[in-house]
Amino acid sequence: MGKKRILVIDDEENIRILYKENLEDEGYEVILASCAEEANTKMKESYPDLVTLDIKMPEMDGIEFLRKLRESDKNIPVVMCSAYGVYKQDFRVWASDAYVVKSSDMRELKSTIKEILKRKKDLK
Amino acid sequence: MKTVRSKTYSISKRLKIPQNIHENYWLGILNEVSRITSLTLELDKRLKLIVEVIVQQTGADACSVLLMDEEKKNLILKATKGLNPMSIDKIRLKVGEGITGWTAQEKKVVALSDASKDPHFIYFPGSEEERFKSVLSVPILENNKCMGVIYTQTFNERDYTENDIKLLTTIANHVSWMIKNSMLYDKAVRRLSELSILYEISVAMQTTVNLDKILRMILGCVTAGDIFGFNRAALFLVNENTKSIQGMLGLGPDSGEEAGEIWSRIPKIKDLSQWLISQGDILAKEESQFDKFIKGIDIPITAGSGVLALTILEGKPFNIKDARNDSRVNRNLIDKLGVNSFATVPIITRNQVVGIIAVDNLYTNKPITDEDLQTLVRFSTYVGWAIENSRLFSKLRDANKEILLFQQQLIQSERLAALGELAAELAHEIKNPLVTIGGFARRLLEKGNLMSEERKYSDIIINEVERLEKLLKDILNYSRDIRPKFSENDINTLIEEVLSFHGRVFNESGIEIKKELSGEIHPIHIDLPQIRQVITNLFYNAVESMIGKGGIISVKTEPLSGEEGVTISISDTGGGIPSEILNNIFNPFFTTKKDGTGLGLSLSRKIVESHGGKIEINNRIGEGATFIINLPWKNRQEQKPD
Ligand SMILES: Nc1ncnc2c1ncn2[C@@H]1O[C@H](COP(=O)(O)OP(=O)(O)OP(=O)(O)O)[C@@H](O)[C@H]1O
Ligand SMILES: [Mg+2]
Repeated sequence: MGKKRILVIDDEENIRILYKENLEDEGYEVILASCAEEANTKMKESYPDLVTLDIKMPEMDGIEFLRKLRESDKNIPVVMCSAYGVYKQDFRVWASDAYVVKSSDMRELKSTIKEILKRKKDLK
Repeated sequence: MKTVRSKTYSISKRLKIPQNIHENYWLGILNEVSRITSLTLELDKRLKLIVEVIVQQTGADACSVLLMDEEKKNLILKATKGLNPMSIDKIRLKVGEGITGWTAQEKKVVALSDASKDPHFIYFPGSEEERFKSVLSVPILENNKCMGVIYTQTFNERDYTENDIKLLTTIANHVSWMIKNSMLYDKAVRRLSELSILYEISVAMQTTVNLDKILRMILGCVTAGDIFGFNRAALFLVNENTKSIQGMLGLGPDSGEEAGEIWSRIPKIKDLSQWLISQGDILAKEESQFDKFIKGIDIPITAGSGVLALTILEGKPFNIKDARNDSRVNRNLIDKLGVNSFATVPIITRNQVVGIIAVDNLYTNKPITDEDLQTLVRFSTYVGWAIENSRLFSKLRDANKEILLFQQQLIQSERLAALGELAAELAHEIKNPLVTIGGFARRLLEKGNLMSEERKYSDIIINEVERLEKLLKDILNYSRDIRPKFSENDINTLIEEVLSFHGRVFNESGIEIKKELSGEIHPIHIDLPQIRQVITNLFYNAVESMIGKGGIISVKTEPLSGEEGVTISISDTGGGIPSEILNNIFNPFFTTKKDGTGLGLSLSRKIVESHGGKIEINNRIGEGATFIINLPWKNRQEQKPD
């Protein structure tokens, strides 16, 4: 079984690097995108197994991107990441599979990803 | 009685003066008298001139005038030529008493050639009347009411002629007219001075709406010598809730000597308003026995409970002249007040009796006249107005206070809403760099090939970032609430920890730390990271107040007074907080620093309050500031379920 591929979408380069390093350590293959447009191309090129999405990206709001993504691919799991805890109450976020408040402690993100991918595998 | 009457119209046989001479002689005297009556002199002085003219021109050896007193019971010697002038104002006789008293009572002329033989004759010691024989006594009438008596006397016996009688009667008419006018004048003057007094009073009362001061001014007027001149005055107000009369204020000296002293201090009308204004303040400090007594009075408003209650119930004044024999009077009260006569006047506003002014003349025993009472009634209208005014004002002020309070709450909640928005913005901006800093510090640690020093530094970075992240989360929750997670902690340990953590900062800034940590304090229930944040904020503010100068930070802990808990004080020597910004420093985003957020204190207060505690400042401008945190042992709200 090959490595799971994760697409990390975030407008901040340092965050992308941090996520990449952490997730690669977990044994994933990590692809990065800094904006919605780039993310679209990457999606088509490399068919990721999971997407992490920053809710507040410039150009396109993460939630708007999620809506579009759901229209083209109903099944791909999406983990929303944000600085706010408030978004948990926003019903549009329910369209994602999980919601993680950004933190320097990556354990929550890692365990969430692991959990989702496992669930997906079990379903198959 | 008959003997007197028989002699009333006895006609002189000795003096036979031709008619024309008679007329000239008459005209001369009457001219002189009417000239005197129209002089602008005091009544007493004009009377004196008149009796002198009569003695000079009629061949009488003495002439005197007695006037009826206000009560219409006594005649008082007001002017004399021939009798001992020292007896003026001293000789008093009852209406009906003596020859002149009889004249007044009967309103008839009495002419006696030898008065001492008359059974009515009374001799007043010291008057030197014993030197005289004949008397001609004529009533001074006005509208058939007797106002006094004018009488002439001679050393020798004298039979008075009809002409003599007519002359003196005509003079008496002049005098009557003069008295009437002068009374009218006196009344006008009195009314005028009353008006100017009322004016002065209203000027004085307009300077304040403080009810207590106004009441003092009111009673100041009532007892001031120039105005009403009552010896003592008391003011009562109706308490609508308890349906009773309550003593508010009593004004008056406790003794006769004191009275004399006080009255000599009372000024003329000119500076009355000034004086009254000062009374409002001065008298507040001099609490007399009388005042204490009045303040203790609380009487139910029922028909049987005395004159005070009656004044309220009937809404009219009472002039009690013989209190001991007056069934309406409350015995107990009158005994304690020690007077037998007093008066009460209702204070009425908008057809409602709101209080009473009560007065007496304990020291001078001067009877209270109906006229005094009328003036007092007019005055009480003003009093009602002033009291109403002050009550309206305090209602207004209360309403205003409420509005202000509401407004402040509104501002506070608006501030919080604005803060909520800004905080979200801020959090996002700070959060990402923080996540990277902390995230990479963790990666360093995870790499595992660190020297022990590097490992220690990474640990510090990770911990601090964690704390900041927590703080950010708190800010994000600021507009909702920070619900602390309580655990038992020792405040001294926490302070030591924060001090050592930031030791380098203090060192580099040339700051000396003085600790005074009490051994008496017990662990208390706090959210440790939050309180750590508060203490750190306060230390940083202290350090920042002394940048470039160095100084001393004193930190002190002690048991909370009154209840279980801890007081933490953090003092600096940074010059204190300028008074113009003192009100603002707890506002979110208020800062005077180039790179301050202005959140330090507002957040600290929020945290302390969520612990059920208080944060206070002791600001010493020019020296430094002390921030004092009081934390209870346990927040009472903590026990409440969600
Ligand atoms: N110990 C002190 N001495 C003098 N002024 C003080 C002191 N503590 C607070 N202040 C004043 O109160 C203001 C508000 O303080 P606060 O801690 O809320 O914000 P700040 O210190 O300006 O910003 P930050 O805490 O984010 O660094 C300060 O800017 C300063 O003017
Ligand atoms: Mg500060």
